[in-house]
Amino acid sequence: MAANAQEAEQEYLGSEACQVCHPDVWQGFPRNPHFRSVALETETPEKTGCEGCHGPGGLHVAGLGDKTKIRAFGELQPSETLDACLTCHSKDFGKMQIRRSSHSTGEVACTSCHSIHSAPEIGPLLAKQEREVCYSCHLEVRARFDLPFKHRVNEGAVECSDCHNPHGAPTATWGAAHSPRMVSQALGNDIACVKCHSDKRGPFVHEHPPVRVEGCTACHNPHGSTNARLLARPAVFTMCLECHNDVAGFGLAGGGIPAPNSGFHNLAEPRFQNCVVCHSRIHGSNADRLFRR
Amino acid sequence: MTKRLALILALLAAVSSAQSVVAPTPDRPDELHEAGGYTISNSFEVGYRWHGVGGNQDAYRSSVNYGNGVRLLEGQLRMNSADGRGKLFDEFSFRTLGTGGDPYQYNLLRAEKNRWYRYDLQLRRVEYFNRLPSLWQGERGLDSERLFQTHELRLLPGRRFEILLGYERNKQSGPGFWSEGIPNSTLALSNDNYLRYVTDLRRENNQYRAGIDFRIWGLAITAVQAIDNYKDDTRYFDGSGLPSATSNVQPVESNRRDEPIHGNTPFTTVAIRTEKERVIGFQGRYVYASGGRTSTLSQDVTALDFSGNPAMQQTFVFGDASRKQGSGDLTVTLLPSPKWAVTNTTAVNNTRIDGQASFLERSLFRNEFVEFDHLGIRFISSATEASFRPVSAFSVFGAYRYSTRRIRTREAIRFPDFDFETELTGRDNDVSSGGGGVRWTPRSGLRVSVDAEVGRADQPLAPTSSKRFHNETARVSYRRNGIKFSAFFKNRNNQNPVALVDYSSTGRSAGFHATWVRDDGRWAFDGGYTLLQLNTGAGIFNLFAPEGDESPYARSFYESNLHTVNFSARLAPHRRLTLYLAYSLAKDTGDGSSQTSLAPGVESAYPSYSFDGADYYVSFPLSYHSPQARVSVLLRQSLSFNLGWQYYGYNERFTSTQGYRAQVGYTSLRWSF
Repeated sequence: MAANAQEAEQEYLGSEACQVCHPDVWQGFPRNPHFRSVALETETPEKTGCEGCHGPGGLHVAGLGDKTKIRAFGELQPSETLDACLTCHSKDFGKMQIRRSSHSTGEVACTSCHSIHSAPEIGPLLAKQEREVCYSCHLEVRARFDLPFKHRVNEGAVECSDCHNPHGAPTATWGAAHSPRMVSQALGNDIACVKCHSDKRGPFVHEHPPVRVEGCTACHNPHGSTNARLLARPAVFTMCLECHNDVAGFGLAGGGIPAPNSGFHNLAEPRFQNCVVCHSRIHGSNADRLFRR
Repeated sequence: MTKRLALILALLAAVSSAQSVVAPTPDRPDELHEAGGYTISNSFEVGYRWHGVGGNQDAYRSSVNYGNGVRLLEGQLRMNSADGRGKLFDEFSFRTLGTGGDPYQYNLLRAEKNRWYRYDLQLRRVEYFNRLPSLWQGERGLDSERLFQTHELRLLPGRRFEILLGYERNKQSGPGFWSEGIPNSTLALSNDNYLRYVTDLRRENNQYRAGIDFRIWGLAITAVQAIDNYKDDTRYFDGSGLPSATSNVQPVESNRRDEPIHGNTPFTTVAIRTEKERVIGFQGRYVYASGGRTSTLSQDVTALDFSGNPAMQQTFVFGDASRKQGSGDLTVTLLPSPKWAVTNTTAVNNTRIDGQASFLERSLFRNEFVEFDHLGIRFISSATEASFRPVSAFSVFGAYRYSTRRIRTREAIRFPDFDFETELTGRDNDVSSGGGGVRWTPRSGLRVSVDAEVGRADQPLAPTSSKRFHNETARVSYRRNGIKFSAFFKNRNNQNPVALVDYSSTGRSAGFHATWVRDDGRWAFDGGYTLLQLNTGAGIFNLFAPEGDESPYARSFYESNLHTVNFSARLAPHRRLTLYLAYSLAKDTGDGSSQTSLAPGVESAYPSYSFDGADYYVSFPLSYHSPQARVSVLLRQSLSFNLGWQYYGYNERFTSTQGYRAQVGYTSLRWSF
């Protein structure tokens, strides 16, 4: 008898058995990407249909639906859910870094964002619209997209995943050890911003080093800002002069980041208060080392 | 029970769309139909959108930009083969948003035949208008159209050997205007001259990709070769004669400029990954990008010289820049037991940028030279992270991250008569940080997480770079039936102390959000509050130091206290009637000042700072609020009538010239079949 129970525990019954008690789940399953494994009929039982994710259903059925006898994702810890999903998805290129992503270390389970059985959206089985999924935890980011100047996420033109990889991104090629770890990279290893803002990508004959070294967030708040052009400060000259102050110990050679010529730049005049009026190619220039053309 | 839960989840999703724009109307679950072996759902919403603006129209267009007209506000079609064996496709889905003239249009298409092909298409069109107040006297503007296309074709998906093909296009075009101070290397023209252009923006980016994805010996390997082509053929027209709002400057007599910029960036990606029996995993990636851009600038300017006499300046610059960038990273994951997870990622990035420009200027005299610039960045980082779960409801997390960065630069100029070259100089910068956190689930549905990180950098590049920093984050969330509550607190602190001019930055944010849906789903409320606070203090070079002042430094203090509130309610008093009300407010109270003050003789381009002759106080108090209301009436099972209105009010405390009041409304029919 014990042997029979053990056998039943190991037994894969096939998805047809699940339909008997879970017809509502099965009804929408053909619209689910996971249905492919059923349709193809080429996968082994442990990799297909309901039991591909939930494990063998023999004992679950024998126990008349005993949830403890099957892998019920609602009862799993986030890391267990991750392990289950990575059984198949660990080899996906876009999920290479998922074990070290901020979501995994923060114990955000796959099912926190994905609704495997009842995803309303076209695409990767998200439980809600993508931005709403992200906003549900990232309240401060949600607030930033309510500001007057922002990327048009709420309007539907931009999605969070245009810039971020929620499954973890490779080590950033800008910034430092504590840099963002969920930001996608354009052209394989460049900052995500230049994917759309390709005119800022360069290379330029004359580079503005902080753009390459620290990244765009040195001057911009990419999610949203009260300042035009998503700038970090409302008055441009104060932002520039915070770095360009000639203080020894900073800059490429340690001699200070050059300050403007005080004889010429009369800050009392409005035109000198916006540095980019003259230094108009501040992201980099091919024609002038002071970024004036 | 499952259906009820699904209904509640759907309503939670609907009500939490509060921060979206008023239209399109949030999705209703579409009816499913069977036809020809496919399960089909289809819906579209067609309507008329209108708007009215009072105040600064440019500011409205720069941040909202909805106009009038008939729109396909949203459309959606999904077809799935019932048995996964469709003839041409097993899945065909299409979604469109804002088609017909909205400034933000998005189209998504997917077609897939199991094990044969998968094709994804994204098309976006954004009307990007930009004439914003932070730029001096508004002397820049852009009314452009941005088109983005992404095509991804995967052949033989799900098989051992897959072929990847991709194409991306990014195009920006449209009129604009532009002004800038006169770059004047020969010092022939008066610096009071400035250049004005009317521009015809023509930027285009095309990227082509091809690759393979295959599995062998337990490894998954991806290799992609791509080339990215960029061209900027923006045309500049003389705008000298146009009326100007500027002061203290004078437009030039005439101006002609051409500046094409073209370039290619080929890049190669190779990635290998495996995970064995949930015990050990390896993920490695190497990317090499090698590209360049060439440019030509040709410009003729006639203007006044320093004596007020007419003069001419001709400029030719031929630029050529290249960048070689190699990046590799290797992640090792150890899962010695279900309680432990340890990862280490070591990454190397090496970037070399070399530029050369031949410069020729003819004015009162001839100025000719060739410039060389080199910037090299080598970056190595290693991050080790471990998490341990002693009991199911509790886990701890720890991390140590280290990076070392070497930046090298060299400049050289060759004049006809002599050369000048700097030494290869640079800066080495090490950053290390350690941190940890706990995650606790004291009861079902309740989660608490706390994280902290402390870091040090030895030689930061800039005064604003991270030097001595610590970050703390705490989150709590609770979810039960129709209730969801979450709250957070974040602190970001960075101190960069040096002699004379310290830099300090403290950013704090905190907030909460709550959602409640009644059991029958007829009432749903959602609301939250967030405080985003930033205080920085910096020593800045004081360009308005009084004559004879020994200290060239002033302090600049920036203070932002940004409060955001959002609230929405979805009410269904009748089975055919749905009401939706929402409100959002963003208000920066600044530093509490009711007005700015400037030292005598200072004229401000910005309404955002005070200067007392010694220190700058920067704050930008403003409010931006947006109530909205929507009514949906279900006329038939598959047809609904929708009417909505949204108001946008933008006000700055220190000036009224940038403010606007706008109303955007729509009426539509949504049909699903």
